[in-house]
Amino acid sequence: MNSACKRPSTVMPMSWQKIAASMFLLLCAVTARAELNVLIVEGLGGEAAYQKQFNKEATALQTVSLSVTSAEHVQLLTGAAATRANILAVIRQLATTLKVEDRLVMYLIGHGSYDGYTYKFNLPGTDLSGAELAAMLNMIKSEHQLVVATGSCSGALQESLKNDARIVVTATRTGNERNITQFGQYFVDALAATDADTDKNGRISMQEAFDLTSRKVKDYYQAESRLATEHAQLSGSRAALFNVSQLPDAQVMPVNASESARREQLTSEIDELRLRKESLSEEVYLQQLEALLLQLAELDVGVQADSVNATSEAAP
Amino acid sequence: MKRVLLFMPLLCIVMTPVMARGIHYGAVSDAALLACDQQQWRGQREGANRCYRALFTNTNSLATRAEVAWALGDIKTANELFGEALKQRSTPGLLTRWGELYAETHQNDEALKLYQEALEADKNFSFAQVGAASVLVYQYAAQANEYLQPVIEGKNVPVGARLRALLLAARVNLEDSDIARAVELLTEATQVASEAKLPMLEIYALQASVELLQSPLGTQVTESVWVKKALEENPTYGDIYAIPAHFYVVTRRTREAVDLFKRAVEMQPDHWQARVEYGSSLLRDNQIAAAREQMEAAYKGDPYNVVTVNTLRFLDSLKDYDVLAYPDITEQRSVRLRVQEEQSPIFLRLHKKESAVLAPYVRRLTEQAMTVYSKQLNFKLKEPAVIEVYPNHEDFAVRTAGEPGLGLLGVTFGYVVAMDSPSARATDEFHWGTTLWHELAHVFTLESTDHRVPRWFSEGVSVYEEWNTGPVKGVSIPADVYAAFKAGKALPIAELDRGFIRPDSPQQVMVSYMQAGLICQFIAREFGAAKFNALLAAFKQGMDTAKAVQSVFKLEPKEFDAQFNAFMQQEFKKLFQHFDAWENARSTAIASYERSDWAAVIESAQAALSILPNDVEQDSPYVALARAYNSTSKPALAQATLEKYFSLGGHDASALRWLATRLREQKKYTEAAEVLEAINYVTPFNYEVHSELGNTLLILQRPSEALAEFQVALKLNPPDRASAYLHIAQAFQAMQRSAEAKRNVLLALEIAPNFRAAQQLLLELAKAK
Repeated sequence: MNSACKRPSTVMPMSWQKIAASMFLLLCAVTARAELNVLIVEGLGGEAAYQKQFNKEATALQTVSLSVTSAEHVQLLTGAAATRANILAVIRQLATTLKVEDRLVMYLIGHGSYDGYTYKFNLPGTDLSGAELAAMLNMIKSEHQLVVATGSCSGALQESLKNDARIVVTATRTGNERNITQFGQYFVDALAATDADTDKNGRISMQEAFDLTSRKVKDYYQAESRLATEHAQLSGSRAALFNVSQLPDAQVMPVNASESARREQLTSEIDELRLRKESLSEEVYLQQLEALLLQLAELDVGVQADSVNATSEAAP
Repeated sequence: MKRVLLFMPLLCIVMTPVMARGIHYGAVSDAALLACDQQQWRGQREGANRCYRALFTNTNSLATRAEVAWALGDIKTANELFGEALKQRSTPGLLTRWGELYAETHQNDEALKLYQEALEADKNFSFAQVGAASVLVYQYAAQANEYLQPVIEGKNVPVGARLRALLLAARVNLEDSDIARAVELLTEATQVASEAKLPMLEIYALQASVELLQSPLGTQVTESVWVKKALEENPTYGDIYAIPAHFYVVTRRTREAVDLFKRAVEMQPDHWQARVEYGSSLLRDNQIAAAREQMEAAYKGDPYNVVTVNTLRFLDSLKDYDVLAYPDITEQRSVRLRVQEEQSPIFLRLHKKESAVLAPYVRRLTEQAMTVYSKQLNFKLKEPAVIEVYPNHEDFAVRTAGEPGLGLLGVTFGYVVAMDSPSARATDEFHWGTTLWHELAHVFTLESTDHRVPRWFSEGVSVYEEWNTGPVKGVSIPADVYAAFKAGKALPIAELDRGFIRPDSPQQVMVSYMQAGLICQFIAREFGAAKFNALLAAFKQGMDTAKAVQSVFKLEPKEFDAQFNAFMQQEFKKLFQHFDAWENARSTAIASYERSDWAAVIESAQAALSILPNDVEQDSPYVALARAYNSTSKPALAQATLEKYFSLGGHDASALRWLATRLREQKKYTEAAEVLEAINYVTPFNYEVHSELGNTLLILQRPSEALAEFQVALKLNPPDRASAYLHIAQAFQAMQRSAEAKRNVLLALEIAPNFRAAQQLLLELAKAK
């Protein structure tokens, strides 16, 4: 097992020996080079119902984050602890520990305000401005940052947090969309939804979560026959590669080096064929696709069958 | 073609038809003007125009010049001259005539203001009273009668104003199907007009309308003595056909209306209002191209008419619709078909963005309804039915009435049904499957009687069928309607049409719908549903409601009303006895639900349901009760509550979704499928519901039905397209159609190459090969 992967080996009931010998999660392949750090901030609800909702979302994000990183790398600031000073302190600390290759996710759950110039995230005591947040995040060396702000006016953060190293997801298009948003609850749901996993790799990327959430928010307003007062935005590159959760019953992909190389080869050939799709007749395209997919399926399913057999053999 | 805005300013030079200035019955007293008018009313148009032009040059009276400009079709100048004349001297007469000009150019609100201004100056100014009534009578205003009655009854009223009042009242009574009263009024009008030597043309047209409405089918209007009289007086009087045609429209006899409007515009090509109504009637008869032709012509002549502009815009939008025909010989290879010839029994006109989703459901329900109604109402349709579904409610409204703001969900014009799409309204706002079922019953009641069925009975049968054979069965009545029944707001059967055509309040329409349905419920129970056919036969013969009731039930209408009232008292005995307690418990349940006070919800919802167990309409206590049970860890009770709610016709989509999930968890797949299918008749655009239903049907080994659901789910562009293709592949595999199964599993894997379930199916298919 790759030592950089901190995920507990509880995904499948396999023997330790087998895990140690030949298996690791693809997720770990992604995270092997880096740590994933998650900071969740639950803002001020203003009303009991909103506070309850924010708390529910923040707690759910904490749980879901544990599927992709270890507990020591997940920090949740709620209630009285969710102050501007504490947030800045945590970021300062991360700035000292995170390396270039590490990844950082920051979730801002709660209302925002925007006066045409300044975005503020509503907190107990002094609010946190978009400019302050940007300045602090810019101190962090990590070149893989993701900030998700689920509340009203959050679109104003798009401009202030813009950075080549950062993906920014906001519930609203601009700071002028001031109404309470639906984005947060649908986003949290998406992180655990099999529907969101469109490439069926068992993990939810930021892009996948964003796509499903945006769809659900749109459906919500349509079903209510209401004019949509929020339009989610995602900026930055590589959102499709930034995994933010793993589905509970995700498939484990056991491989050895030669199988891995073969899989990569087949995947690359499939990608190349898909690029040529328009130049081929449907019949030829599907024939060629079938040949490649069958090989990949034999490899994947065969390997899985082997691993299941091996697990059974190893069982006491 | 660009259309002008709905309400364009009046100041615009357009030569409108000479006849747009209607007969004024002495509202204008200038002798020279009257001399020109006389020629005009006799159809001597060239002479009249020469007379008007000469008068315009010779007269110094601004008011007369305004009238002449109007008569010559120069609306802008007429408007300016009226304004100038009023600056010189404001009189009630002048204000009223200016109001008439606004009314002629379809600006009724402005017209009403001017009539009211005239009445402020002289509260008894009869011409203004009639003008105000003529505007208000089409706005459901009881106030109209307050203006009209004093003029009809007044002794010192100008004779022309009284004649106009009588004619307006006759019109209203004809629209309300009170032909006897209309005839009385017309007799009086004839006497008044004869004595005062006022024009009789409009009287003739209304008399011809009476004659047509009472005559056997197939009667030729040209044979009418009234038509002959009118044409002797004015050979170009298009209204002699257009006015009776209007009453055909009111009584939903579209085809007869089309024929008469055609005659009207042939006789008087610049009768733009007749062209608009002709176009609208053609549209109702599904003659789209011909309708456009008339509307285009009307727009050129009278660009002020919002109905014309809206209808042309609507016609422009039809390019965004698919027309699907069933059955279709090409169906095996393509669901969508451009219709070449309109011979098939069902045509669907569905918006392109919705047709793939709605078509299977609309088709299935339509075919089911046709089977049920053909048998039940003993009538086979003679032409294909056309079902139109509009995702924009205002398009539906314009298609139906030419103007936005219509409160209906669906309308039937004969073989053409137009209705709101479920996407036109908020989720759960209406059960579109029930609406379609309701409208399709109208096709049968209208066509089996050659459109002679009175409105109340057509609606009654439709509501009855909703409750007894529709997609959600059970007597479902909105809560506030019960209060109206208890307050005795039900109308006598012989007057029930009034509740639809000229209701006293918006609520009366819904009360009348429910009353009509309950009358049919009463008839079915007490006399047998076969009496529906006897009533339809009586109406086809031309009997009115009173005569039909006497003929079919051997009862005087009053006696029928008494028996129906006794039925109502018995049917809702418990509710009426404990009405206040029920209202209180119901509102407490709603309020408690809002604040999540579950104990209070349980107590009050149970109390409300003990009094009225079939309360499944909006804000149903069942939904609140189930939610309260579930929130207090009693899911079994919640489920039982919703099962009862569903069995009684409840259709709250969220509640049913929860129920379906529970049933699936308990492996009660047959019941779950039934619930999921019901949800699709409320909210069909949810890919998750289609997918769940498909999976449930697959478990039930109903793969072809499952396939249809999965295909609809895919059309809804689900985020997880790989799973959608896999589902389709699984359904094909279950149907032993391996080639299609393989194609779809490849499409799934194209999106997600490592999708394990799809990989397994691909291997399985390869192995089988």
